[in-house]
Amino acid sequence: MLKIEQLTKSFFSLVALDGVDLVVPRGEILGVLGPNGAGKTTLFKVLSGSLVADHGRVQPLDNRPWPHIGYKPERLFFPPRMRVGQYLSLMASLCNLSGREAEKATTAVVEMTGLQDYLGKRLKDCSKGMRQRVSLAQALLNNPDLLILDEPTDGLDPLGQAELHAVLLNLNEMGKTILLSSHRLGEVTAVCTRIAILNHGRVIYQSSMAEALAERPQATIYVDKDLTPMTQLLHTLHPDISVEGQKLSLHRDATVIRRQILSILLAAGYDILQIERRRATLTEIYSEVLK
Amino acid sequence: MSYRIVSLTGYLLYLLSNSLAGVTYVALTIAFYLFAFRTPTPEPDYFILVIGGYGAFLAFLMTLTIAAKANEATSYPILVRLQSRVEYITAVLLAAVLATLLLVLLMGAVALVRNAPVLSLERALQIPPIWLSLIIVFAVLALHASDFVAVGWSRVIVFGLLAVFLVLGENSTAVINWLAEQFAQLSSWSYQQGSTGNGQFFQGIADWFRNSGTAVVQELFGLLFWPFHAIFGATIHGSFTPVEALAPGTLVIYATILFLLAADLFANKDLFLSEE
Repeated sequence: MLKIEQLTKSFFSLVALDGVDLVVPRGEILGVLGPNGAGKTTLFKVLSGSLVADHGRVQPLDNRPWPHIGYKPERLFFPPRMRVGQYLSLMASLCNLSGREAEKATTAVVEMTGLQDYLGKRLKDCSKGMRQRVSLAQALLNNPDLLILDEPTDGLDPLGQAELHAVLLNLNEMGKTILLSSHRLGEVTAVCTRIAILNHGRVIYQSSMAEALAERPQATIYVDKDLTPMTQLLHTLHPDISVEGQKLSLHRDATVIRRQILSILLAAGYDILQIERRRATLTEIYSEVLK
Repeated sequence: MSYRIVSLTGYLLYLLSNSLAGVTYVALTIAFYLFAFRTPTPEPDYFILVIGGYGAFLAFLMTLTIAAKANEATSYPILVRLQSRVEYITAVLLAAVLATLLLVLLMGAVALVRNAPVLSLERALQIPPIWLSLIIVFAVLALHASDFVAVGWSRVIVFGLLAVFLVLGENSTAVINWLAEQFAQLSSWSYQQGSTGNGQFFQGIADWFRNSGTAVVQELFGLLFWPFHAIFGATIHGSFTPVEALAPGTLVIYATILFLLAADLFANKDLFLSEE
């Protein structure tokens, strides 16, 4: 869908984006993660056209035309006295749609975002969750190829979040590419098919979600006695081992190392009670990448 | 594009009419009418110039207000939709001109009925180009004064240049005398250094400034404000000469140039819309 190359943006001495290289593949849901101030919102604002990059370029992949973009900003501001229906009609009128098409598009996004009962409500009287829905609805009005969502579930209750996730997955099934930022890693794991982690204005990690989770499997070995006397020996064997009582955690599981550890433990007279193997969580990957 | 501009103009007018500023401008117009037309004023030049001047003043304020509304964070999703940001700045200008025209025409209509200025057909036909050109040029100037368009020092440069032209065009004698004095001193210093050629050259410049400099500089810098003088003079005299008739058109050309500059600034600026 989009290829971002060496994108740079500074505000006086503050470098917000420092040579961002990122590919947004067509049909994926790409989660952009990073601590506050990493450059996520700046990146989204450059992609949506609010900010002008200093250097670098953003171009569609495969020489395709520039995609239609729907943008939901992080902070929600609406004309307070306008009603939800009025606002969506206005936004539809800016989408190059004829009167009937605009009406049809508005009806479709209203249904998709569950706003049917709130069209007559003034925007200033809407709850934050409701405003999130309105903001998402306006972003969907022009039937965008690429949807840029900055913190889409901020302020939504758990049920609202689940509904929004379902909407995003549905849109993705319809072929929409989605670029979203979120601090909720559980949400990103549930929805995104790719992740990119930004820090200090640079992309420091990007991968498909499946690969990211699979490349850092973890193992926990439970034994019958206290492992403290073995700690030093085990650490010399592998630095990513932590020992806690009768539990040994191997943060990067690999068959060869696991077998070595098991043979050492057996030789030292430990009985192996249980071995648990699991995939790393996104929280663990995120923490490790940012270390 | 034109459909989107019309939609945006409607939206901006909606915001204005639902704000305190909108009500304030109506009240201001009523107050101005009561002040300016409190006595019977049959003179058509008074009618044309006073309402035209108020229109220019109101257009400036109105544009600043509408540009401030367009500069709010509610505009982020709108700007993403547009094929060009120029559509939005065009809508801002259009909304400001329409809102100003509405109030000015209302005031003009009431003044026409209650104060009954004696307007011949010729005088009546002079009104639209005069009022419209003044309103447009002041509206475009206000765009440059707004946060919506201004980038860095742009407004200081635009209004600083206007101030320089105004000062040098209206009263350049002091500046010219000062310049003449500086060149005369430079000339004396050159003679003292034994450089007769330079001394003569600088003395020549100083003499030129003293003899004909003031007139030339005033004419040169005053040229920019000629359309205003021409409109004022012709309205007072009651008829336009062929050259004076070009004045409203010249103002529209000024407005076009300033608008192109504003559109270029706005199209290439980072948008930090107000989140208050």
